[in-house]
Amino acid sequence: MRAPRASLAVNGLAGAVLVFLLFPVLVVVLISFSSVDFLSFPPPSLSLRWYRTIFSNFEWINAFLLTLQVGALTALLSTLLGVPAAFALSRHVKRGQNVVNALVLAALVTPPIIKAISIYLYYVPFGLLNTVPGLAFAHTVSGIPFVVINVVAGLRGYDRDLERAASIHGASPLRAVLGITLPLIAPSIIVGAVFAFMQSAQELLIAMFVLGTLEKPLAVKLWEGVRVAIDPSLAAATTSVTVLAILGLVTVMLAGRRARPTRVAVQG
Amino acid sequence: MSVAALSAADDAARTSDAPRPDAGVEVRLERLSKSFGSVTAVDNVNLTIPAGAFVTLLGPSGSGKTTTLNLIAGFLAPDAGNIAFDGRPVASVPPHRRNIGMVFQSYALFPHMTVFDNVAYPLRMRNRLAREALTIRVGESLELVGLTKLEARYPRQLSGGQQQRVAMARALVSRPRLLLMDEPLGALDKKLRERLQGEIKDIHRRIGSTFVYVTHDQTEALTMSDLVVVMRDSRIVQVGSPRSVYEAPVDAFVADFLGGANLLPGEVMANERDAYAVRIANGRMISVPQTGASHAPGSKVLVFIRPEDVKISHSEEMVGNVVTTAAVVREVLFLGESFKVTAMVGPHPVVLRAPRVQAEGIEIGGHVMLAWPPERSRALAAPTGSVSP
Repeated sequence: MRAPRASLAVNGLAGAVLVFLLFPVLVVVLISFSSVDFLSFPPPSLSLRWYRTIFSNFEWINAFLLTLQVGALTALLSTLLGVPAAFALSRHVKRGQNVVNALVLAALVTPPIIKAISIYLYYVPFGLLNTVPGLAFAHTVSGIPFVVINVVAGLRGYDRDLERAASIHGASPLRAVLGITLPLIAPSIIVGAVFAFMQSAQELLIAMFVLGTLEKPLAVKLWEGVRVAIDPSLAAATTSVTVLAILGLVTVMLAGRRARPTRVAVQG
Repeated sequence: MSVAALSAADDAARTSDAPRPDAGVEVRLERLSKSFGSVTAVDNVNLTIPAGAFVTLLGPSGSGKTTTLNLIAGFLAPDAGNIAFDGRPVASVPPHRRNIGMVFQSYALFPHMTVFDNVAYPLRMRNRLAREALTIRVGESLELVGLTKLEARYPRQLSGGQQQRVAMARALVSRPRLLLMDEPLGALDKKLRERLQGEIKDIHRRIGSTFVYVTHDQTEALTMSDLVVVMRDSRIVQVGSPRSVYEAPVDAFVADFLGGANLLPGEVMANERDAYAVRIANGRMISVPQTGASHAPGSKVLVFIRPEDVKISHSEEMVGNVVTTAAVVREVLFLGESFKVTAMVGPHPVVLRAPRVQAEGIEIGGHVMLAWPPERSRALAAPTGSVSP
């Protein structure tokens, strides 16, 4: 029986890779529940004291709220700009589609430090430095590709006849898109928006340049925390961010499930 | 007629057997052309679809029939030519203002809406109706297609046949004067397809709208249509009643596409009064009526005759005005109600249907006589490059 043995080997390897990738996260999560003042693994005993510490500290709470604000604004702007861009790209760009695609993706492959510096210089005359919208605008640049990629994929799997059916039966183009197309590709839009949000929440470099001096979003606060003093409160904050990411992933999965039929088909 | 009487007539249109005289729109296509890049999809199409008619666009895939339908719907803009509804050009009218109902091949039911909301959609977009009136109209439309009590279901909870009926109900609910159907029965099995053919034809009789029906199935076209439009390579090759396109095809393609056709290569030897004398492969001269395109003596033709018009016998004693020729039986297949016999006239096969009585004693390799009434045959232009007799 070779096949089961082979699949055992593959599964074993996959498991090992997973452990390698996730073990550091697991370490941080466990340390965050530590009861002692220093980083030790495994922690001697468990407690919630570091969570109490960060959630009673205004700086941490502000950082958390700031990250949420910037992330939400980024997700909103990315969606508002990305969805129409995706429609245009998949329906109206006939020639040079690859070029436009590459331009959209360029925002993802530009080295972050280059982006950070150029945005910093660009923002000075506009007075956008040290503002929440300023950072959200900057993060939207990288958020749009996530929305565009997901919505273009969603539109590719969308039966255009549905929109035609709406249109021939009396719906104006706008009503057909709003009433039929958007609800049906909503899962793709949600996934794109969540990715845009998560991308913003974990981004450090641009955040340091644009918003690093007065108010600090979570990523910046964590970075500074690591440089100044290492105690398990950092682990607790990191774990909180991880939970945020997991929530995002769950949203993505739920959105994916909505895309498939959820009700049992009844014949007859 | 008073306004009240008019609206009463309007209400009665759904239930009475006599449709309103203006229930259908006349559609005229003039020199219509459409290309996609370097591919010509519709090439200089001229067609008048009479008001209230059931017209089928029939052709193989790639013949331009679906593109023609999409041009009528307004989903595509023609590169050249005009489309007019009741004489009014519709070039500047977007699809949602053309007042058309349409059934798509994939049905295109809105998956996130119930059957009721799907059927109510055109009413909500086009007419501002009170809730009660809306419910009544949706109910009427579902009743028309024979589907009730499923209003709360979602499309994916329905069988293919039920989805097809919902698509019909949605297309008909706002009482459009033009209904477009793009291979609406293509996804269904044969039995259901035949039943729905009858039902669609019946609905057409009851509401009297103009129906434009696209199909590649010749049986569907012949059984349902008032007018069959045969398309090939982006052009219309023949327009006529089902009987005329079946019995008098204009060329070998139409002859073959509409059902089994025997096409015997031959050469026109002479014009005798209303008939051609054509010499076929085995040297026999046969008489073919002069209708349609004319052929000069010496030109190559294909003699067309439907299998069901050919009789078979052992002797030369054929009764009545028939043309006869000798043949050798190559194949006999039992079909149940009849035999399918293939007999060779020279190197060319002739297929025919022999009732069981007639097929008595017919054996493979046997010498037989074939006969057919000359008026059932046609001389069609031989496509260039065909085998000469």
